[in-house]
Amino acid sequence: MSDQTKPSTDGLIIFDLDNLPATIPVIPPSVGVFHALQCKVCLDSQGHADGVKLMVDLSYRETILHGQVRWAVDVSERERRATRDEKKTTDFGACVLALLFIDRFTEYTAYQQSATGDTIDYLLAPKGMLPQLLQEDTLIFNSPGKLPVAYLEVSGIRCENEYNTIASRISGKKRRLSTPEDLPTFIAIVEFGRPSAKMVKV
Amino acid sequence: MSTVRELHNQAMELAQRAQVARFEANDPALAVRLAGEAFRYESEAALLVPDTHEAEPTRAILYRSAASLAFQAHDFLGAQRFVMRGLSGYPPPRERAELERLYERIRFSLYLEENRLTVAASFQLVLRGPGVDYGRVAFSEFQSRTNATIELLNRSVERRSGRLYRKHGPMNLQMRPFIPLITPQPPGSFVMSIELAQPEYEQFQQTFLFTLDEIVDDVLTNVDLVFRGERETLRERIPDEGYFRNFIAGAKQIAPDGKVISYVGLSDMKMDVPGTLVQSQIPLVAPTEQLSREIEAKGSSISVKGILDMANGRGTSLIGLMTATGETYDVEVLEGLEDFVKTYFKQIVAVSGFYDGTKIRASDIGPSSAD
Repeated sequence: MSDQTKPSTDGLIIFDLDNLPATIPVIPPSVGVFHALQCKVCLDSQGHADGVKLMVDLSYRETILHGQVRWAVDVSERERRATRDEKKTTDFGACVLALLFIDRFTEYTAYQQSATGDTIDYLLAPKGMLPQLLQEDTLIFNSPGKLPVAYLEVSGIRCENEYNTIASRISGKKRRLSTPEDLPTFIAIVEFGRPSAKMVKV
Repeated sequence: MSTVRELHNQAMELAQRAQVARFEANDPALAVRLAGEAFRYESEAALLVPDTHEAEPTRAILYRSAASLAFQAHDFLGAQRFVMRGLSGYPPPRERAELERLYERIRFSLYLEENRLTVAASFQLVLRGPGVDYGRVAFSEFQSRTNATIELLNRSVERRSGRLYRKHGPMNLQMRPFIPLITPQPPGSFVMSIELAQPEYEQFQQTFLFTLDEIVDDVLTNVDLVFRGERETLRERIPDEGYFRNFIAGAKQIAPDGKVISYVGLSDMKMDVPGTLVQSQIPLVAPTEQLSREIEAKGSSISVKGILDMANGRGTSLIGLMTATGETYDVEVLEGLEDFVKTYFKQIVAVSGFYDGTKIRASDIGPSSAD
């Protein structure tokens, strides 16, 4: 368990946004603050502050867990103005939490990324097998010896309503992934209104 | 010589910095430059991977990543080249689908570039309600609202250009400073982006003293006033009677009907406009004391339903209405409402106003059902 997601004194799992690169090595230190800000802005826009509680439904494990998102510095008015692209900010914010969930709740961690369209895609690998995967210098996305690497698909909802729900996003993602997959995929949908998330594995 | 991993890691660090420049620093020029640098590293990495079955999925992922970075750097031909190379290998289904999706985006960007168009402004139109499925909507609901939105943009351009209200005939599209583009968004409700692509011709830059962003702001602010019932403030912003009525009619057509569409929202980077009133709560012509006196003096109030048809009198602002029992009426449409009334031609409409024995002076008109 990393420091970023250790349990708080009241038993809640803490998701610390202030030092993301330490938890998620694929987020370079130079952009860690940017990613944290996207997530903070999403929560702040829904009236939430440091310490807001978050429910995570790990449906593939039939488990519901409760956590707390922590950050030290509040969002400034200038930062709010600078992040008015709601869709992008929501997607980035959701991605940050999804990467923290993967690290905390699964045996995987994000070990590789690639550009896609105008955003970044993440590939996951079992934590214990990272040294073996990192030895390969050319076929860096291949899975030597059938190591179970996996994809991560993330989607964010700023504020759920009857027409835009976590359930509908999950089924949309599943529909999009209906082509035969060569690798397992985690789907994480994060909702910031009443902070909650659901992760499924397909 | 650097390894594939080293080159790729350098590319990803630069790609992340490009993202920050684009979305946080709002510095698109820096974002393009950083994406270009990232592309150089990623393309070098991709070219080091052999074109064999065994090299997949690494080969396809690196070619897709390099193509994406070239796309972000606005090097569309470079992006197209790398998509093609990625597809020419043995990409697994997921990567093949991603490469094909990217190819379509690149091809459209090339179309914009070849026609010297740049996206200068954009906003979102959101539809929700029983008539909206997951990313799917009845065509007529979509069509009437997008047409009304584009018409409001056209009229706002004419008004802001100081032109007199155009009573007849279509807008001269050669003189319109934008080409509307529609982009469906990831499903949830029915969400689409309306983008205004600006031709990069000098004549446009010299003719118009406003930006397309300002036109979008203008339309969204005014729709917000209609949706909140603040007609007097809208009148201050649009003193010309023709433009004023035309705007109300357009906003009414965009508003939810409360049955099939229960919510309509417009939003851009600066403001959100939720549709709080339904169409029946937005009269085309606000009842005024003067109008009431005219009704008392000249005729009686009337509400009638029928098919909108050609007018008997063929007057410039007269239309015809035939009821289910075969009665015909001439209906006078006030200046400003022509754009929207004509969209109901050959449809069943409900007209209300006052009748002086020869014609109905319409204070409201809108689509209706046959019952």
